[in-house]
Amino acid sequence: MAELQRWLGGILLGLIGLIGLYIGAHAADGGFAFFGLLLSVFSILMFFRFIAMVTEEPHS
Amino acid sequence: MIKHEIFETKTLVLLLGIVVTVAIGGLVEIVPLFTIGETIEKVEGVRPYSPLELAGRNIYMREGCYVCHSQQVRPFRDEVERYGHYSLAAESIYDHPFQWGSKRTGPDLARVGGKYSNDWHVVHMTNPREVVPDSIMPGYPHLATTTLRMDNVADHLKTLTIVGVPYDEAMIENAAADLAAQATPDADLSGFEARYPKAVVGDLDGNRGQVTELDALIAYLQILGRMVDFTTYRPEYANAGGQ
Amino acid sequence: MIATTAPAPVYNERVVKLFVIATIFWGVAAFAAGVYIALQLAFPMLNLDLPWTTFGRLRPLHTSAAIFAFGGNALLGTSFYIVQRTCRAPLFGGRGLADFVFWGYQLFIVLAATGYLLGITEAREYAEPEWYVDLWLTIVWVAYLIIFAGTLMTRRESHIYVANWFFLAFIVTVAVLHLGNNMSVPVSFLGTKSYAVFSGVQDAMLQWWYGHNAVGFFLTAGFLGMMYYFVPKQANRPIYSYRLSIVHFWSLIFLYIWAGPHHLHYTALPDWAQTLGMTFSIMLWMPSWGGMINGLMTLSGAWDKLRTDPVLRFLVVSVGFYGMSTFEGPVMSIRAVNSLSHFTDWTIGHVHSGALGWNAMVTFGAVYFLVPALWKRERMYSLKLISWHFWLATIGIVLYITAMWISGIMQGLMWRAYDQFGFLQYSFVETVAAMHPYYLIRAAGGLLFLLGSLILVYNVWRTIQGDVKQETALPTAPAAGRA
Repeated sequence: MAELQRWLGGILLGLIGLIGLYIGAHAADGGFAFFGLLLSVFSILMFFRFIAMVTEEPHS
Repeated sequence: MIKHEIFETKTLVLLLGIVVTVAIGGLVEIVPLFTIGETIEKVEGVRPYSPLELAGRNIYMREGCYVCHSQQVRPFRDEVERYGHYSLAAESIYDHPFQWGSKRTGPDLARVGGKYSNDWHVVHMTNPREVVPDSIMPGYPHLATTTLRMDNVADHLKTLTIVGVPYDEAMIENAAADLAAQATPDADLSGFEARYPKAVVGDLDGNRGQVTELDALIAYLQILGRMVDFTTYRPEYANAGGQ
Repeated sequence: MIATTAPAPVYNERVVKLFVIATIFWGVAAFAAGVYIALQLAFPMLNLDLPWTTFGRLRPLHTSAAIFAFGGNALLGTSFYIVQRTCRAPLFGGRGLADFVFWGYQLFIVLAATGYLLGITEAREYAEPEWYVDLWLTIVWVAYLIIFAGTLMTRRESHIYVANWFFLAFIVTVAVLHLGNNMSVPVSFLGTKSYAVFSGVQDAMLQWWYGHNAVGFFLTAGFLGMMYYFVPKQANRPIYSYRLSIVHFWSLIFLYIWAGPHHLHYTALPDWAQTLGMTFSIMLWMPSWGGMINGLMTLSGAWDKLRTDPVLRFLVVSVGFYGMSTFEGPVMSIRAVNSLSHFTDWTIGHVHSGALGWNAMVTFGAVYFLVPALWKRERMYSLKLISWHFWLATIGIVLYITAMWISGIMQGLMWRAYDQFGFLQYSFVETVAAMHPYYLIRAAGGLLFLLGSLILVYNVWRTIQGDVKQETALPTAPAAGRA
């Protein structure tokens, strides 16, 4: 269950990042491009957190 | 008699109980508004906004004007005297979203159309204190110097038709042309005036060279409250609509 | 709390700590924004003639920061703390999902705030964020509901504690309100602009069904959840009446929903809807005071603690302000009263007696409870500083609301004043000029409130560092409750 959660979490984060990049590249106005940027930055930062979580030792 | 215990021991029962309880009030108050005649009765004269007026309305919303200005005259003697006829439901029927406002830091604007000249608006929007010394309104000098950007104006009209505003084929086809023509002096306005009666036309912001955001905002402000002709009101019809 | 012999669960306190820090950060930001815009009304040059700093764009920054950033983080954080401890279970979904809710919520705040400055807004009060921010919030909110409901379902206590009924009602109803009021069609899925699905009267009703219940469920039900945990814990006494909890919970959440139309008295909204709104708003006085009574009477037999425990003072005074606001509200919902108060500063005064007096003060109480508990300190760095904060906040609130009562009622009366010839006595701008001194007093009140919050920041920071101030004249250490 936890394993599945991790896979799901990782995939979703990746999706969010990709959507953010797509939006940033194709936005019709500056504000929306900024949204895309923030979304990508968010997913990248969360990804670091995610990696730290899946690689940590049992007792941290 | 239901024992409360079931709500305290079964999460889903508690959740469902909450959803049912909070749904009732909303349904009773919202649903009938879509069916009762008096709320959806149309009034002659009310028409969709022209592309330039729509652009102006979007600027009005963008700058948060509704935060200080209401657009809803109440049926009180002093209010009607100060602002004009009390607001009808039909007058905001094409306002997506409504902008009745909830605060009057500044005056109500529901019938500001035609009360001041275009030139007055130009000076007032740039620096309110030049025409009203005690005003606390912010200045918006950038509106006069910013070219109006609305490349996809036809898409805006199409989106509004999706939500129920009756823009027809001609209006959508001519959207970009109408946008420019309304604020361009000596433009050919015959089609435009047929599509959007009573719209103010001409060089609204005193800057002949370009169509600016100020042109758009003035076009919007000058139509507010002017669509319905209250002189045609006939008292003998007053109780016919179930008021 | 029933003692069990099973090993204590490992609670997720890390995410609660994050929420507490965020609450404090956004609180100061919201109060500072409030002081600035209050000063703009007294000194319009503070608009700076720039597009990003006008009152119209900064006001939603303040309201969203106060309600969603400050209030929202407080609710999410305390609900996570309380649901774990009252269920004796760690947060459902693990640390990953909880972190996602925290950071996702902060992203929502940043998206909304930067949007307003850039002019991206749906122009609906307390629902300003555009369609794509609404979608993001929906995702985060669903995750929040999953965690909260999941923790309830995996609890090791037989019964769900009353605070959690209120939190659940808050989470679920806010979701319904958010979805209902934000229906809009984007012009392009690659652009920020969208148009509301509804218009005119129907849109007005929908907006205030939402707007009033943002107050009712976000700012009331959720915060009552906080009250139901921290008051009995800090006072070390049980809640006054279980039966009262049940009655006022269900009647509160039922009645609140109907109150929306009191924001639309004498508008084009049909009379029958206005009457329903007024009637139900007046009835709402009962369950609201039921909550107040339940909270205050919990102190029964322990009133002396108010002299020595400034944290309890915050919590109890907040309940007092709650009672005051929930009396003022029904009074203002009466059509005749509303004909004077609508559109005036009185409404603003009412909002802030609730937001500052009830919401902010109960949050401060909760923060002063949580910081020592979460960072494992004996107590806050300085109880004297808590007292200073309390008095600055209270005086600030009193200045604020009295200034707004006077200016609001004066405005209403001036607008309807006739001279002896039968003409309107005042031009609109004359009423604006008359407001000036009250705008100054209100800004001063807000400034005091902000200063109090800065004292909180200092006190919290020293506490986290591990410092404890030696203070004289403290009878006994106050009951610093820790689960």
